[in-house]
Amino acid sequence: MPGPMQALLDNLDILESGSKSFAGNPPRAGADAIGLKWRHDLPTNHRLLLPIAVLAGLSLASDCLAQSDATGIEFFEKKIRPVLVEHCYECHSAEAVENKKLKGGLLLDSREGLRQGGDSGPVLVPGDSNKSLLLSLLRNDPKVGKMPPKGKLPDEIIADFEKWIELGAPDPREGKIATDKYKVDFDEARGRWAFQLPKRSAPPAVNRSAWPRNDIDRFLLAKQEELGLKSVADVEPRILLRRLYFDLIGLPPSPEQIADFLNDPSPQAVERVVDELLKSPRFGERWARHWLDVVRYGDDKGGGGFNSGPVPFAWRYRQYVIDSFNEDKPYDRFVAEQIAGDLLPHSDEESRMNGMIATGMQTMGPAIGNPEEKLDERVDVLGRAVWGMSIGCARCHDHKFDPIYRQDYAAFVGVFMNSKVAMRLPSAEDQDGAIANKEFEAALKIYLKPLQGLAQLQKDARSRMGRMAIPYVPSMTEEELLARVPDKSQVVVRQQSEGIAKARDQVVELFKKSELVIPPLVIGIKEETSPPRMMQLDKKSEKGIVKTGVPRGMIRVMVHGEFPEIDQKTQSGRLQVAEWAGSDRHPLTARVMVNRVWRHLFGRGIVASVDTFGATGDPPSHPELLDTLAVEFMSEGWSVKKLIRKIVLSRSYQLATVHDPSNADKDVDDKYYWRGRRRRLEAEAIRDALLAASSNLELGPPPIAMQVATLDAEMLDALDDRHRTVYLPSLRNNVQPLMRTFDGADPLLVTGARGSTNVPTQALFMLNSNLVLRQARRMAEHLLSDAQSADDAARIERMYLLALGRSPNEKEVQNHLVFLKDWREDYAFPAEESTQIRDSWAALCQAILATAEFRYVE
Amino acid sequence: MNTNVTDDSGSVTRRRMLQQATAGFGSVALAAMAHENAKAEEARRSPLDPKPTHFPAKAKRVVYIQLRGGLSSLDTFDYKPELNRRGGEEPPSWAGGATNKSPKLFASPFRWSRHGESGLWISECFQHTAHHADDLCVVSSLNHDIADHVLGALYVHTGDARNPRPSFGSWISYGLGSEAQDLPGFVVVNPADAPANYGSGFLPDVFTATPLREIGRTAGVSPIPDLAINRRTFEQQRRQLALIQEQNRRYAELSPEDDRLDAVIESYERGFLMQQAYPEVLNLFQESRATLEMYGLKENGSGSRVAQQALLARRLLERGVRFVQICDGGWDTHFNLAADYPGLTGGLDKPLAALLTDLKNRGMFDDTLVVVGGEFGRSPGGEIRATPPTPPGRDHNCRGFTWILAGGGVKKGIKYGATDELGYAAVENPCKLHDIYATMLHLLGMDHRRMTYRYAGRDFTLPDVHGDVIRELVT
Repeated sequence: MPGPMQALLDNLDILESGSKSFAGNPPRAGADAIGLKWRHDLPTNHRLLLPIAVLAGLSLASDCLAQSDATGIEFFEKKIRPVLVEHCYECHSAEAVENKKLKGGLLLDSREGLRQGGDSGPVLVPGDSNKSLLLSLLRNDPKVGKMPPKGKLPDEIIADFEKWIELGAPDPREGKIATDKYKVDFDEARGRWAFQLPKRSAPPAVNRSAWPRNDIDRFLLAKQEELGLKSVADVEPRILLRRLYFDLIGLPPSPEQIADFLNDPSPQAVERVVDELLKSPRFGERWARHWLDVVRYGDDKGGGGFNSGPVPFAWRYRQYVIDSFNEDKPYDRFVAEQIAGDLLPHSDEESRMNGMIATGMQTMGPAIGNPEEKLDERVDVLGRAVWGMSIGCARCHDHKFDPIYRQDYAAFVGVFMNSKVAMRLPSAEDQDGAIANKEFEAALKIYLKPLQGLAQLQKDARSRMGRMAIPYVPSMTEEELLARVPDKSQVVVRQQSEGIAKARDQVVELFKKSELVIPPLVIGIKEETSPPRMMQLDKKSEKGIVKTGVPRGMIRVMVHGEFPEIDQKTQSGRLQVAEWAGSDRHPLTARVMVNRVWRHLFGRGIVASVDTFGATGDPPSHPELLDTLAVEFMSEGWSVKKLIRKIVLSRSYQLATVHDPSNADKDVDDKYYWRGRRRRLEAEAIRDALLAASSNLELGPPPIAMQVATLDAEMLDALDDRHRTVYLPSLRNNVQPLMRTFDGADPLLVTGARGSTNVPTQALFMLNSNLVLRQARRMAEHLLSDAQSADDAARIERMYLLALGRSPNEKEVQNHLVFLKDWREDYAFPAEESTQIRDSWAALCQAILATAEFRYVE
Repeated sequence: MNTNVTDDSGSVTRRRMLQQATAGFGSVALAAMAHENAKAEEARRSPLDPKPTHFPAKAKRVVYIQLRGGLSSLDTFDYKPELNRRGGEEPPSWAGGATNKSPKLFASPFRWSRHGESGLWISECFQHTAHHADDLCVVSSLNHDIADHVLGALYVHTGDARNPRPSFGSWISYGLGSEAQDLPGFVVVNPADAPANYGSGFLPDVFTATPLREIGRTAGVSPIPDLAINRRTFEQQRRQLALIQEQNRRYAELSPEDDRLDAVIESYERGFLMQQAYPEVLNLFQESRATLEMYGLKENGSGSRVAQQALLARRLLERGVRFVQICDGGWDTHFNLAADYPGLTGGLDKPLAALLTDLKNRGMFDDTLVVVGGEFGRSPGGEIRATPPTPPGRDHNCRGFTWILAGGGVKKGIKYGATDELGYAAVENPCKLHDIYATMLHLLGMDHRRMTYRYAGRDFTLPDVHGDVIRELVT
């Protein structure tokens, strides 16, 4: 079927070549016969496009006119050039290159540019309008696209173009293409600070030389002095303590820890606390979560249909990250393990297994059916997490802003395309572990059943309570419902909750005594059989488009010096990439991590766009400081703990959060660190602090059986788990209300900097959620049974220390005493005095836990 | 609490104003009056506050009725006499063997007629909706290349079947905020697909849909978590709230410059209001008997699948919710179409017609955009099953399918675009969901190119790099 239809199909291919860059790309400028051969390989969806093309194609007229050159050129000047100037040059000309507005790599302001075409290939086939992409674009052919983007040109103009192309596209414009389209941009981009190796700078001289405690302070102070900013006073010790606790371990200090610290007069008191916190196993639980945000950790596949359901053994990766931060594993090693932990040399079996678990990082993110898409996603996560670079853009075209070419993408993806996600037993590599997993799941059922029973109890209670509570049930009027609420409901609710508590204790006991054998199954990355493949790229040549394999390698802009050699015959190159990631010749690895850490401690990155270091990101506010910290980070063994220690012992970290209008006027973007930044606690810290305040926090990881059995939101809620939030499952398809309400990281996206909103659903959560109500009740019970708190005033004191880390003032004590008294006097239901007392305390505790002060750290 | 509203320097401060009003929880209206300076006001504002449009809006709110499985336009709104004539014949060669499950062309088993002055063809399946023919805008040339339910749904909700992106309801909520002080901007009734379909993607979480579950299904289950006052009476909670707010105000006073602390105070006010607003808006029995009947609801509240949802949608829209989505399943009609379709469509037809009438009666039709459609359409070829022998239905067809628009500035009584003579693929004015997004935003007064969100170093828009306003659909 030659003729116009085929031509249209050819154009169609050109378009698709952009997105189908892996395999099976057709030679598009070839003869019709070639075009037909490969089409059988296309997935069904693409074949489906044929009839559309038929119908559209048949309507094209091939109205060939024979005219002399002179007439042709006149035609061009009259009909074509003005249109190009008016509608196309803005994005397709040398001027557009200068203005950085060039689109699609296509230049239409010269004969040569027009003939050569753009990123997606030639646009013009002189003499054959139907084969010319240009015309299809002008016609707004839905399979090709629309040009100009602002709206279709009138039919007469399109007819003119058709005629002109049939004439042989006469074009009198002389001269070479003015600019080599991208080169200028890329050269400039290469010079960008982020792609230079970081350099250590001597700390600048400062006027207030007595003020700084370390070099961080000198860098920050120098800038402040330059801008006429004056840092505020140091923060008072008890606030500093709370700040350090939340920042380093994600938990509030206990009343005893507060007392110890405040009673320690030594100048090393802060240092001592910092060192204790860095040593605490709670440190890893806190800092792992930051990393899990970045690699989009989740316990389920997060897709629909076949791509939903739990990811088996994902929690092993989470534990690996927690352990790594606790051990202070050198960050270069940490990254290398996640890239190629399965290939690295290991001294023993445990380290080998850890290496495999580490590669689980590449299995994170939503499950995607299409392996090419998943591969693209794997690579993109890696780029953004470790280097702050979006690599994915270069899949279809040279990166528009950063010096990453399609060639680089192909080389880099080639490294990873030789491995796949696999579940396996590390001791027997050829086994996919399916049998072991099946046995495990069967064994798990013993635990699931009582848990399900508990969930059912809960559910029944909820629906009964629902009927008795506020009238959201349309079948009753408000009056009717309110009439039913009194005493009876109280009794029923209490009976039910006692029954539930009993059942829950039994389930928890069962889990604790669990004899479940967890098979050493790992989900991670597995190298496929050799010889390794290369990714194929289309190359233009005189013969048309040919496929060329791109040797596997590193993205060039990330290499200073020699990248370790990859034996293309036998090695995928993953090991070399892993090694290079932690090289001091990589411009980004250290900088990006230092900036992430800084951001978690100061509330703002030196580069504010923590996940984007490319040209579209923010420039660093203190480039020399960032570089110096990065160089020191590397030279001090890539120790995250040392870096954190250095930062939190700076005076700048220890400033009060007080406002200063004159500074604020000069520092509009609030980026010069002249004061501390008040920060809202993250979702995890809020829950952990609730559990800590009620003295109900269970430290350490929950029993594995419990972790696995609660991979279901309903089970989790039923169990009322009291372990730290980091251990709760993160379900992409069932994000916990707490996470959703308090801006938890979306487990589908790379999140280096979470949002922090204040919205009504948070208020509802604090007022009505079971979680908060439970903690408030337990806190009340704790206070009432606390032997050291002799009276209500003492209990209020302790409540404040537990919840807010400070003592109440006189007015607050008086207010709360009145609150308690009023609550009991106006008690809504007939009840025992002890019940009334407990309930009044629960109400007071809940109110304090619900305050802004509780959820902000100064 | 009844102190003077002016502070020591004599100027009215926002915080004082709040302080005043919070005692009675009625400060939201007052709050709007008090802005000492624009910047502080901006920072304080809830991300859900209404935002200015780029140009005057024709539509102020949207209701999207999602038909899970996809509407068979060939049996409803896309009249194909040629298909109906050739029922039982082999598909033409150019159909490309679209699916081997469809050996024969399948004529629509329903009666068709023209309706209204516009003369739109509508089958008997939508006899009630047909009364509104002159207000409908039938877009028959939508197409994409995802014949899979799960990915197709993701695609129509977010414009991308692969990468996580915000759903269009989230975008609209982000761009325009909510008119309701006590309700969210984006509500999904009875969501049934994966959360990513209703999620805010890279937009802030507040723009994620608030799901209202179990509407018209299980009584006694709260449609959203933590809404019901839990183990406290109303009066008790009021007392607690007064204490919380007093603490909050005192805390905020120490940092007058920090507007986030004001936002916490305000979040409690709004939350408290929501707690009252939801039960109220969910109580369909506040409607007159005539209205209930119109939607096909019996006195006890039972009715067709969509009836409660549609009525609830109107109530939510009326109270200022920007975007309401209701979800109806069962449209994956592979088999037995002739027998099943009347019941299936009947469950939507009456409530849909009622919703249109209701909006008109309340003067809301002209600025409410009504959108109906699923992830794709259904094939011209019949799909049959040999064992057990099952009469034909229709397979998936993503190459040409129909969505219905109405109200809110769309042209009335028109059919836009067309599929080929048998209904295989869009051939005349083919368009994408992205074009519909752009058009929706246009109707809502927003320029889709200017309504951006910066993520991963790039300014994203709802239609992303695809799509443009379809001028022909706009009055």
